[in-house]
Amino acid sequence: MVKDTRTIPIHQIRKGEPAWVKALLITGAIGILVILIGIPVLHVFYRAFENGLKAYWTSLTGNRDTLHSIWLTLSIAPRAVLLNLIFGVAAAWAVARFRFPGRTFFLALIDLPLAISPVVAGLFFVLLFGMNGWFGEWLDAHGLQVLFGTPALVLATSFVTLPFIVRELIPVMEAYGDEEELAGISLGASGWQMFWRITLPNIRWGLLYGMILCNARAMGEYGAVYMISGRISGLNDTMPLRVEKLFQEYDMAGAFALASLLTLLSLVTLGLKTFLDKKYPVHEKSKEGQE
Amino acid sequence: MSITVKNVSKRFGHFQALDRVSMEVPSGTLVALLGPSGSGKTTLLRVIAGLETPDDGTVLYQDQEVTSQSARDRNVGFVFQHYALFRHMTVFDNIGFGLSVRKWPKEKIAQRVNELLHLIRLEGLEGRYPNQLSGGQRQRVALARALAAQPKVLLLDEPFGALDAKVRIELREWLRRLHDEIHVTSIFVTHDQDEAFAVADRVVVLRDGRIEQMGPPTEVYEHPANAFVMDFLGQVNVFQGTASESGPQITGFSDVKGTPVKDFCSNTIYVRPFDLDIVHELNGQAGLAGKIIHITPAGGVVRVHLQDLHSTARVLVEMNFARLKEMGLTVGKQVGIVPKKARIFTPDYMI
Repeated sequence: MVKDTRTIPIHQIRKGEPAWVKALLITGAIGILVILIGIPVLHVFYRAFENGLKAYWTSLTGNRDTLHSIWLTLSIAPRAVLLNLIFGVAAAWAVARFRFPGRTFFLALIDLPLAISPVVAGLFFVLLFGMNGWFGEWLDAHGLQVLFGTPALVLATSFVTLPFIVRELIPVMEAYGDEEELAGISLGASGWQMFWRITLPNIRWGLLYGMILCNARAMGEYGAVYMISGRISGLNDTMPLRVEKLFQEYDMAGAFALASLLTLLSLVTLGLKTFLDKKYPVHEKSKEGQE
Repeated sequence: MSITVKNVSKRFGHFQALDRVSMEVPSGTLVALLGPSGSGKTTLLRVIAGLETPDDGTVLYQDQEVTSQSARDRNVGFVFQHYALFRHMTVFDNIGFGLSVRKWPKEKIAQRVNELLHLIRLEGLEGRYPNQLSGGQRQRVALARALAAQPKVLLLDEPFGALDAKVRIELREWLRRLHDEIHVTSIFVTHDQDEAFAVADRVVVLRDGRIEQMGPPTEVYEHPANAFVMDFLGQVNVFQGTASESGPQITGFSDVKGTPVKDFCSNTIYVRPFDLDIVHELNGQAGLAGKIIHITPAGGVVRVHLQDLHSTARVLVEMNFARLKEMGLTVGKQVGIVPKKARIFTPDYMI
């Protein structure tokens, strides 16, 4: 066994730091985390449950519009993840396996949704599908409702979460290389056989990881969805939109109950991600089977 | 099945990987593609396998043109340099992969895989994953996987490159015996001339995308076509000299017998370490005075490193161990170096 240097505690590597510097840095970092993240999260749960479990349950299920927003978010997020799954695998494959003109530009374009404000992204879709937009008239003439409907919500959410799966897959695919795939082909596998039996098993953990991140972001999306949803309660309000609306209407119990549920979903996601990180570190996984 | 390559060229951007290469591989032979890195040997192998499409030229299996056929339809067994075993599959599934994608029934796959496990002497390890095997075991699994669907051609890319010296030699001898048993037309790529000579029926020497020479190992070794091949095939002493109709004149040596050459010009003269001899005293004989600086045993022979007393150039002489003992040669001794044979090449190969 080779000793893993990462397990050596930091204080053994850097002995020079005086104790007070260490203490200051650690307290500072923890303090900021507690103030900015710990307290607000705990507060959300405190406010949600301050009137007891029964009140909490009533706030969540007693309001039909709130229930509808939960259902809408839970139905949009998986669809956005699915779209990004297909796009992500295809795009990562293209980038990792081929050198084509405009490849760098393509990579930059993938990152665009991370850099751009979601509100602006939402505006794009209004420009595309709105009545005065590029496709608006044509869609209207064919009786298709995109804007304000579920299709627009799925599209906007997919746009905002686009980089997550691709960005996760490219390093994984580059790390394990194309030799196994070529070996499969030389052994007589068809393109699909190669994908299902060789490529997919090799990228599965990276893919799952990307999907989890993508899902977390999709459920919490606010800005882009705000622009295109129409915000009609019980029709096209998603959970984050509904939280905002309840808050504006001074329904604090309802707002915090729904907010706590949204937070809980994020925490579950985070837990899953941490679990995967520990169990299948992406980079070590991709080195297996080599030398 | 024989393989014919006709005028194949391949470019990667500005890099000419193959430049009008033509060669023939007779059915049932084991051929080595030998050359330094960047010589195009791997590209040639991949073109033959169908993993790379040539820009120009044709590839024939027997009389059938396969240039535009995909690797999938060629039924070749390809062994990758780093094995490329499917890391998420067991040894059994790796070997059976080519059969299962061809929709063989389960019992027949199991039968064939067991047969191959026996052949590669890895019975009992079929449930292991590639990362639980040693380098040599992985290599054999890669070979069994390539052989499973009874390919018409077996292609190996630096098959022993990633192994340590001892396993390397064992495996290459095993490959030779295996080839003698199953007689599948095989081509392997190597940069190691010992490996090529030890295993292959024919050796093809490549440089800069061109074939410099091809032929049986003894012929290539005995009659290297040019200075590059001579130099590449092993350590060689380089002297300056002139070639005349009566034979080469090596600067420093007073008179050396060699093959007469037609052209009359200044040249580089190559002498293999085994074609030099050591004598106690020159006694007016043609030769150099040298001092022994190092003695290294290498298999059946001993390499004696000497320093030319006049030019201080290094000279390498190979002799057998018994003779070294008999002459009582030790480090620091002053001796005479005399040539047995020298070889001259025309200047267009001098870069």
